[in-house]
Order: sequence, then structure tokens, then C-alpha cells
Amino acid sequence: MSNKYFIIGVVVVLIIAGGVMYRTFLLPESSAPVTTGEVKYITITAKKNEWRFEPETIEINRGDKVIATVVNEDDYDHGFAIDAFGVSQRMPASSTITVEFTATQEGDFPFYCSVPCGEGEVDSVQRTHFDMIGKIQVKSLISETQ
Amino acid sequence: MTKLVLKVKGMHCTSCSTLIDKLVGKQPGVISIKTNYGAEKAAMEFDESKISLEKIDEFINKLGYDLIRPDEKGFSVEEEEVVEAKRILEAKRRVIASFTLAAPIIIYYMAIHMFNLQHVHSITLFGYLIDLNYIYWILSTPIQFVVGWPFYRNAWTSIRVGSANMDVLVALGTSAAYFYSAIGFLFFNIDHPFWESSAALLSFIILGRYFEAVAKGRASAAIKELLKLEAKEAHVIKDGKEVTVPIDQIQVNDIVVVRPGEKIPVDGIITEGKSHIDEKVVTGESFPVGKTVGEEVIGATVNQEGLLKFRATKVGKDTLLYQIIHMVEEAQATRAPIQNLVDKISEYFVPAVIVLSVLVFAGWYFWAALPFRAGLMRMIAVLVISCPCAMGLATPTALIVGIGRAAKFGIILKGGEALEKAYKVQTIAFDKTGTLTIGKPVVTDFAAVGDMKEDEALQLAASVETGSEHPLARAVIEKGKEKFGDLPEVKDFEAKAGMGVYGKVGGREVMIGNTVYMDSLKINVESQKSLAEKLQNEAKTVVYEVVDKKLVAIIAMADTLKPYAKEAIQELKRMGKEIIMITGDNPQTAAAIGKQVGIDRTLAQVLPQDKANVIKKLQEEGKTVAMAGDGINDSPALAQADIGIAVGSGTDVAIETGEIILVKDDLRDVVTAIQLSGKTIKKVWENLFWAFIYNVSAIPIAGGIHFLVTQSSFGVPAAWVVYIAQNYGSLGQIFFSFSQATLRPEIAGFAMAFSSVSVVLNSLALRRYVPPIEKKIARALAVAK
Repeated sequence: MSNKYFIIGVVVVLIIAGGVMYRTFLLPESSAPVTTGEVKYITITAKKNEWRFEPETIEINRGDKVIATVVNEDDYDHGFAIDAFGVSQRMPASSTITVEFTATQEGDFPFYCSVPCGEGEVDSVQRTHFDMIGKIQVKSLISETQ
Repeated sequence: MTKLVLKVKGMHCTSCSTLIDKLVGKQPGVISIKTNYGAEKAAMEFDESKISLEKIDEFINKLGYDLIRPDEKGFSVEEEEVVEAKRILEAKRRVIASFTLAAPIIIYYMAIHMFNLQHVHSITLFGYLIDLNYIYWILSTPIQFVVGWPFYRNAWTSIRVGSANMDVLVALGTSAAYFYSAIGFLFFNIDHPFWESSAALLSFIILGRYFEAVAKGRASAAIKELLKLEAKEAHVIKDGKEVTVPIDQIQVNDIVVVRPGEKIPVDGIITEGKSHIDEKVVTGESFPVGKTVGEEVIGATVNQEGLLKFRATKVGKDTLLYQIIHMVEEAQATRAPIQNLVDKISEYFVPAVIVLSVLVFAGWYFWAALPFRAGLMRMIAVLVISCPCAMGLATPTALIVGIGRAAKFGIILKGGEALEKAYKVQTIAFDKTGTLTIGKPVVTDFAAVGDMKEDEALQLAASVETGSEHPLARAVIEKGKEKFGDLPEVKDFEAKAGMGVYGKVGGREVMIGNTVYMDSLKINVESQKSLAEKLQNEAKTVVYEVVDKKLVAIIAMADTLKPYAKEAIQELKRMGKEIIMITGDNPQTAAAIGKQVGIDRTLAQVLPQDKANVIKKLQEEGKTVAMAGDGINDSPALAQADIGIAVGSGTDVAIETGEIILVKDDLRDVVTAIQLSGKTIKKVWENLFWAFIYNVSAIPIAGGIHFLVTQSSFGVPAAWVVYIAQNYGSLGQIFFSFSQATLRPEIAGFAMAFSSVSVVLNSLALRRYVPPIEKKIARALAVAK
């Protein structure tokens, strides 16, 4: 094995080692992932021919394990993605899927439709695939209790 | 110390040759080894007392290749041709299979992503609802592993030699896409598999590789042409009887008989007879050379008139022809391989992408402390998007258009290699005879010196010469025919060997010949000495015409420059190229032609065997050298040069050895070829820019790096993004949507479609190219009208 791959290997090992060190020793208390074991059930619906998720804002507590039931009312495909929690699922036409994730971090996280799904007029307003975006607000438990 | 050039079989990529050079070169006793992937040859130098050839062979076998030792029976030319044809056919089948499989995937995803279509990812077949992903999975698996197999194999070889070339990038990018899609679809219900990414990428690239394979098939054609030149049989005198034997049975010291019109089979020394021998094929000399007892003859040259007997001095592999073959082989094997531009980019791009993808993972998982899955997905996304679909199209499309455009102007470019190197040429060496000059004598001066009118003298001269077959005679005939059409008949014609001709035209005695002939006729030519000398100093052959014992004209003949040779040289000089003339001719002729055409540096009396060495020396000075020539004697030099330019009127061997062929025999095409090469390479770079730019800009988005700019804190859109979203209507919303998410599948589809379209359009723009010289001619014509 030659230098180039050796150097790549060393760099990769250094990044991973640095990351492990950071996450173990240097990560601020407030940023460390939190799990409470609480389970929260939510339902999100892709409204028929509206290019809209309902609800568009979801509030949950940090550390909650979320079990989301996502309903696709349309007779064409959608997707459901939350980058922050590694969620990216497809929703075949007229189907319901279940998505699970744990909201370990505090903040606002967009969820969106990740499959091109066209466009149309809803109440004489043009709506498209790109309007299918909402957010999950993860609230800190600590601030609440204080 | 042993020096050998041997065939190596089984190499499948340029890294293979590097691997052999690197590992075999390390063996004690091996002084140097240079393997050439294109020519499938290894030129090696080793110390036999330290390492045997068998040992080297064994070592190369262990690496997975096969060295053909001299004692092993190699493949015959025909067998190799069959293998080569099979390989090209196989490549073609691969392309067809790949596109057949990939077409549905590419069309489906392109349509959906480009036009944001509502779609259902399943169809009903025979009453069953079938998920399209199964079909795409079935279609893309053979593409990834059967069609794509060579990429894995080449990538592995590259990794072993420590190079991160295009194959590594392709293997990495398509594997990431394929495995993410397959595993994600089968086990994790992912929203968007990237089937199109691996299918389209591999299909486009193997299409490019197919074009390369077609171009490469011609590597050994030059040798084939050379072997064809050899006489097949020879008449040998054995026990006083003449017997016909195959050429390989001739032994040194055999007496060989050659009849007029036959090829001389091997090298030797004349023992009986005299004749003119056409040695053009080997020496490049334009006139047949008169030879007699005690002089040397060369195998593969043609005996023109007399019956010759000669003693064979060199047979088999020792003949000059075989030496030339050997030199061509050696030159082809040692020529530095060109590196694909994409390979060059990949060498930096691949490590950068790997490190970046790991950084992205670390950023999400360690630094932002998000779930493992979030980090892993972003890391894969970076790998998937980093491999540009249009990358495989960038070079081939530009080269195809460039080569096609060149063909329009009568310039045949063999493969992309010629285009990739031609514009880099610093020095151009021209062969004289047949390249700069027409290659046969023409009458340059016809001066009436007596009382007779010029026209009459010319008509008589031309008529007399019709009796002769000598090239100089033909020149005079041509000049006469051009002026008068039909020529009067000649009677009592007599050729005076080595002196001239005699004949009667319309009752008048006409004699044409050199000074020796004049002396024998007791004709005093002293009075015309100054004119004759002046002509001779211009490297012209001078003869005198005598009618009825009176000197009437001086005729000067010379090999003249081709039309436009001078303009071409001037243009090349203006482009800053160094021009050199190499010729086997004498320094006087060389200097005269050099002066006419405007070349300052002429190398005269260069033996055919030494032409390649001259080129080598120039290359050792660090120059990129092109050689323009037409003869077999030029072919080692053509092979040695970085770019061999064969002039159209030349021999088949030269044409096969050269990488550029000028069909029109017009030297201005050298200028066009060089300029077009520069233009095409510029296009290739532009194409690579377009191929990479969409994907490179998508990398930060795939990795979520753009959040550092578009979000003020994690999950909260930055103020400027919100401003745009609120003030730019639906476009603002699209921007907002993209800015708050990582790699959306639309981005991958968009990158694929746009980069392919940009690359193809950019290449097609090259079709509008018109060489400056042609423009100049067009302008001149317009003015003339």
C-alpha cells in the first residue's frame, strides 16, 4: 500500500479519533444527546392534493422517543425526511407509514417531502412539492422545569 | 546486461503497467523496465547474472499478467487480430447491454426530477402491484457488477500502485450509490434510491471506453504492414540449380537470383548483373539507385530492370527491414503513456472526497451529537453525489467532435492520444523527400542556349525521352506533354547507360545527357559553365540537349517543394514551433531545400536507422517532438516521436505508425491539426468543468455543510434565507426548501441531467470550428471575386 492511501487512512483515523475524544470529553453538557424514555405518538398527514403536511409545526420534548404515523392521502408518491434524525422514508400512494426516532437534541428541525410530487392550485394559490415543508420544535426539558 | 522488448498480455488498464514497472523494477538485477499499456510491450534491461528472464516472467505471472518470452511461441499477427476484434466486439456488447438496462431508469428519473412530476412508484402487472424499485434493482445489478466489473478490477490495481485514478472514483461513487439504494430499499424503506446514479454513470463511461478500445486496436497495425513488405519466396542457387524457397530458408552466403520487378528478399552484396533498384520503401530516396557488382542491396526493395545475383549477407531477424520493425516496436513500447485528464483530477479528487465524507460524518455524529444514522446518511450522500455522471462523457464527446471536425479537413486522427498531445508539440521534424517535397523530379529550368527556340527544343527533348523509363526522363516528358499534348514519335532510340539518351525525331538527331555524355560526343559545354554551376548549386540535376551536334538547351531538374509547404512552415514558426528537417540526402540538397522552405536547422545524410535516434535526442533535451514523414524509413522516427504525422501520399507503414494522417498531402494541415488539438483539449477541460461543477457544488449540500450559512443556529433558518423566502414568491419558497434540507434527490437528478447536457452542448460547439488558414483562404477568395 502506498503513501496516498496511507495518508488518507491516517487522516481518517485522526478525524474519527478526534471526534470520539470530542464527543466523550469536550461536548458541552447542553449538547449531549438526551433520552428520557418517554414515548410520544404523533400523526402527520400529507393532505390530498394540497402539497402540505398537517400539522406543519410539531412540538415535542427533548429526549422523547417519537413514533410518528405519516399518512399519504394522495394517489401519488411522497416522501418524509428529517435530516437531523436520519429519517428519510418513502410514502407510496395512499399509504400510511410509521417512523421512529428519538429527539436527542434541542432545536427546530425541518421535515419535508423528499420525493418530487408535482404541483397544482389550491384555493387559487399555486402550491408545489417545495411547499411541503414543516418543522419539529424540540423543547428543552431543563428550561421547562426551571 | 540484457536488453529486451517483450510482449505482455493481460494488462487491463494503465495502472497495470505502472504496477509491473514498480514491482519488477524493485527486483535486484533489474536495471530498468518500462511497460506500455497501449502497445502491450515491456522494454526491460536486466543483469542476467543476477536475475534470469524466467524469474522475471514468473514474477509477472504472479501479478496476474503474462510475459511472452522469446523462446515461447507468441501469438501470430492473425491470432492477435482475432483476439483484438473479439475484445472490441465484447466492449460493444457491454455498451449495448448497459444502455438497454439503464435506459428505463435514466428516463424515469430524469423525467421526474427535471419536471417535478407526480408519480407512483409502482405498476400493476397481471393483477399484482409491483414496486418499480424491484425492477430497477434487477436492472441495475448487472450494470453494477457485470458491466462495472472492469472498474472494480482496475480500481483494485490502481489502489495497489497507490494511485487514485478515475476507476477508483467510479468504483467508489457507483458502489456508494448502488449499495445505499439496494440496502436502503430492501431493508429501510428509504425515500429515494439513487439507481440512476450508478446506471447512467457506468453506461456513459463504458461508452467512452468503447471508443478508446476501437482507437487502440491499431497499435500493432504498423508492424503488420511492415511484415507485408517482405518477399515471401526467393530463388536461390543450390548445386548449380535455381530453386524457389520460402524466405526463411535463405542462409547467409546463399546466392539469390532476383528478376526485374521482383522484390529483393534479404540483404546482400551483388555478385552479378546491374540494375536500378527502387529503395524508396527503406531509404526514402526518391530516385531508383543504380547498383552493380560489389554493391549492397537491401531486402524488401524492388529490382527494377536487370537480372541480379547477390550473395545473402543478412537474413532473418538481422535484415534492415527487421531492424526497422524492431525499432518501431521498441519506440512504441517506450513512449510515455498519456494520462487521462480525468485520472489527473481523480488523483486529488478521490482523497479529498473520502476525507470530506468522513469529516461530514464526524460533524454530524460527534460534533452536533446527532444520531448515528443521520451522520451515516450524510456521509453516503457525499460519496454518491461526488461522482459526476457526465465525467465519462467529457473527454469522449469532445474528442469525437474534434476528430470528426479534423476529418472534414482531411486530417485523420487516430484516437484521442493524438489530439491530446499535438498541441503540446514544441519541435516538429520534417522528412525532406516526399514530405516537404513532391518526391519526384520535375523540370525546374529549361534554358535555350543556342539558336533554336525554347519551344522547339523542349518538344524534341520530350519526344526523345519517351523512349526512356528513367525518372528524370519522365520529368521532361511531363513538361513537354503539359505544353504540347501529343509528342512526335521517336525513332532509333537508344539509352546510353549512365550517360543519357539518343534518338531521332522527324529526321533530326537528338541527344540528351550529362557532362560525361557530352564529353564522349565531344560537345563543348564550357560556354554554359556558369549557368550550369548556378543550377547545380541549387541542388538541381543538370543535363544538356544536343540537336544535330549543336548544344541547344540546358535542362535542370529537381525535386521541388510541395505547394503550400512554405506557408505551412511559416505559420508553424509564427506559432513558435522549432522546425527541423531530417533527410538522408546530401547536405547541399538539404541546404537548398531548407533555404527555399525557410528551415534553418537541417540534418543531412541521416541514415534511416538514425532518424529515430535524432528524435530521441531531441526528446532528451526535454522537448515534445512531432515527426512528419512518409516513408518506411521514417516509421521508427514516427513511432519514437510524441506525435507521428504521416503525409497522405506516403507508404502504408508510415500511415499505420503515425497518429495523425494528412489525407490531402497539404502541409498546412499540420497547422490545422495542432490548432484543432489545442481547441479540443480546451473543450475537454471545459467539459470536465461542467461535468464536475454541479456535483462539486452539490457536495456541501449533500453533507449539510451549507447549514453553516443558511441556518443561524441548528434548525433555525438564517434571517437572510427567511427574507428571500418571503420576498421572492414561489422561487423564494423553493430556495427556502432547498436551503433547509440536505441532499434532496432533485439535486442529484438535476446535477446528472444538467452536467450531461452542458457537456454535450459544449462539445457540439466545436463543430463550428474553422481553422484560421481556411478562413484566410475564404477571405482571399472573396476578395478575388
